[in-house]
Amino acid sequence: MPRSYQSQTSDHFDLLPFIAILMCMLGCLLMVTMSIAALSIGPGVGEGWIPRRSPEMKNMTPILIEWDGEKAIIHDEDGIKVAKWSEPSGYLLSNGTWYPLKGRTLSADISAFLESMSKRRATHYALFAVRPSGFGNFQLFADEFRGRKIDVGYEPIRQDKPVRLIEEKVIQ
Amino acid sequence: MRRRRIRDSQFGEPSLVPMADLLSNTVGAVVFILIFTVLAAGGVVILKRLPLEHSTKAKPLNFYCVNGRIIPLDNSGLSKKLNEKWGRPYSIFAVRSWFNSFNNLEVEDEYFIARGESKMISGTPDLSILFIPKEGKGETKEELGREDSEFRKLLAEKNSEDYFVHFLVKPDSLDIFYKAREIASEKMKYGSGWSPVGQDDRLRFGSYGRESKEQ
Repeated sequence: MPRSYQSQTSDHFDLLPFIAILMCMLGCLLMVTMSIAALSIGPGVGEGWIPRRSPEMKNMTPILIEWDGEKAIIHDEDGIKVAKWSEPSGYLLSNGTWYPLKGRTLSADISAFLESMSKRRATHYALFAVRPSGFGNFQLFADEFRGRKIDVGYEPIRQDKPVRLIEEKVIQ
Repeated sequence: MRRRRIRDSQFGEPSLVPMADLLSNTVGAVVFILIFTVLAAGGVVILKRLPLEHSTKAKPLNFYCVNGRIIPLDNSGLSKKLNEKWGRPYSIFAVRSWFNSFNNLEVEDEYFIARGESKMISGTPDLSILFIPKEGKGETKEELGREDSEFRKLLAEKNSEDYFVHFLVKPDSLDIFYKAREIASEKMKYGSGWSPVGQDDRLRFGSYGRESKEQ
């Protein structure tokens, strides 16, 4: 009898292509995750300031103002506004105090904001986040507030770092 | 001989469904991990004792943060030395020359050279002192971190009730300012304040200058 050859059928399939695809996909996603996390923790991280109340602050509410030397980004209670300010061309000394030369006009935005802060100076104060580009003329800008008896506080912040006030938690 | 007939081996097609499930589940899980990681890393919250400027009876201990270093500034001591060197006018007729002699008058201590400046502004005499830091003086951030740093020693010599620490800060020295303020406030219990100095500005104290305030 002829010997019958039976081919050996083997039900096997190569898992490797699928595992390779899986590993490539995992590797890509892991790389994307690590990159985004590194960017978020490093250059992209912002600051959220939570007030820690001190006796000087009493119950005053800070209004955050970012100052960069040319414009103020005001985080007011009714939204974020941008107002430009430029320093006076000169000052006049009178009775031991320097006053900006007359004839200078403030921009409408900054005038309105100063007016509004002036009205609520008993309950609100200006908290400046001062960027390095604003170091040179910050005190002159802050004098606009001091001159209207508005309390001020200021804290430096790096040039491109976002900042916001977080009011949910107040720690004594 | 019969030709060996070799049958083609049959390749049984497996079901791809379990592998596709495995792949999509894994990818989905990793996407969720990605989303949570980004959300968690996206907002760093810093607890800050938000500053509010206020006057104080305490005297300022001034430090100048420049070029990544912190340098103690004894402006009152140098000012006193400069005034002693300047002296008094001999007569009422010599007032003008005496006033002008203040210009470029110099004294120094270990850290600074103090140079007098005198000018008339709108008919009003104005005197100021320019403080020039000496090269290489003061401490770096690493030196500041040591327990026996010059900064800590200076603060330990005074008391926190009669003095507060005041920093004059240039944009290139924010890191050392933060560290020094942390040491002064948290570790040595001093009140603190700071004033910004423009990167291109020189450190100058004038007769009509601003009062150093605590925050």
